[in-house]
Amino acid sequence: MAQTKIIQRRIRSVKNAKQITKALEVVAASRMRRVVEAVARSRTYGNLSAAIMRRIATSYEAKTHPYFAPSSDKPTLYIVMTSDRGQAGAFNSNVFNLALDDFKADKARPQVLVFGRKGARFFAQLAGIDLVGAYEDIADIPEANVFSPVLDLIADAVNEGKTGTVKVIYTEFLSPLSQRTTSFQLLPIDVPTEAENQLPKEIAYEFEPEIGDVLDEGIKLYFEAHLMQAKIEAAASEHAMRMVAMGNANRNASDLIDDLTLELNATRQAAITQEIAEITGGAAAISQ
Amino acid sequence: MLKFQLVSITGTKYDDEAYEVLVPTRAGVVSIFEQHMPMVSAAQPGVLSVRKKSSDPDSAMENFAINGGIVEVDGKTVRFVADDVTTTDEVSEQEAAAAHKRAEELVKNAPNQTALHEAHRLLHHSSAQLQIAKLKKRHHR
Repeated sequence: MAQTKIIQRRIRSVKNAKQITKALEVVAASRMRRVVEAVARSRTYGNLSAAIMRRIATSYEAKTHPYFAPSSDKPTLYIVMTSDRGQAGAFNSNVFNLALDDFKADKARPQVLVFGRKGARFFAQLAGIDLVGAYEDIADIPEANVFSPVLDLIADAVNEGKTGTVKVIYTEFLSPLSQRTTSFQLLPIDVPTEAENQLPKEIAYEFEPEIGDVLDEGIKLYFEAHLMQAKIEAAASEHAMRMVAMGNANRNASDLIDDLTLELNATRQAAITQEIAEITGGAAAISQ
Repeated sequence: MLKFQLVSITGTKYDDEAYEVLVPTRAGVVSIFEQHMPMVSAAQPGVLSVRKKSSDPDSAMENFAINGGIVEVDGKTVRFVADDVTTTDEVSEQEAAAAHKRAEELVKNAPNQTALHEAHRLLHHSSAQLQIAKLKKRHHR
């Protein structure tokens, strides 16, 4: 009897876990759908800002701007996008592994700026790096001005000569079932020259009021667009991975419940058989 | 006719033909027609207006409140990219007036030059929003 009680208790606890995973899966799925729409928009915006940057980057002023200068052996600033909450499969550990690999290749002490509570905890305990900032509880689809302190920080670090390269480590959202952890070089600005640029008719653009203003505004837009895109893609990936992880957990819980139910039936049957055996055995002993 | 695209972080706000686009830049309001010389310019917080047909009166223009951004013109296409674009549908006069008041407070109480600069930017932005809210009201009357 004691054995069946234990199994029943285990079944109950697995059922509770199953309910929780189901709820988390549903929530993650609905949040993912909302963020996925924003992913497409942020990509359009990112591509446009890159296209404009491509126009500006050919000018003389851009070539002499510190943001376009090739990086020296100065430390690299990593902007890492992690999640606030766990239970999202390998989402955060993939990001951490990529970051650690990148750190190993660095000669100088890496500087880290992290989004998300999980990352903040991880990098706070990590030796050999400088944690320059941590942002928690940022919305999935943030306002543009969320990143203005980051832009200020980059500007200060470059002007003081503390940083030469800025990389963004985030999870690219390919599809609900497929995400890829990747790193993007934000600084020095390196806009890939597309076929569009190699056309024979190179249009000479006039910059108004002057190139300096346009360059500043363009850089701000470019940084904001790419940080935004990284953040939104990371959010979409997080929800997608949580959805899949919780879906798996939910199925595992169902399997476990099935197994435990079988075991419960077997032990209960065994207990009944034993009881009958005892009764018939007792009756046989009395009648003799 | 020229093609005008207005893209913000929250999506494409306008992607259609237009006759004339008025863009507030640092050097004043620029009016862009077809065959404008190729130009890249930084915009100032203010009201961006689009005239769809040459026969449209000023009251039929579509207005957007913008908070800076970059405009790119190549003769046929005008692209405007900005982080924050407010359409007439999204703004209410009350909210805009409240935001304007807050920005004025910020300008008054700015502790340093950077904050003052930022507050001025906010003030420009909120007054642009207030302006398009008022424009909308006039049309509905």
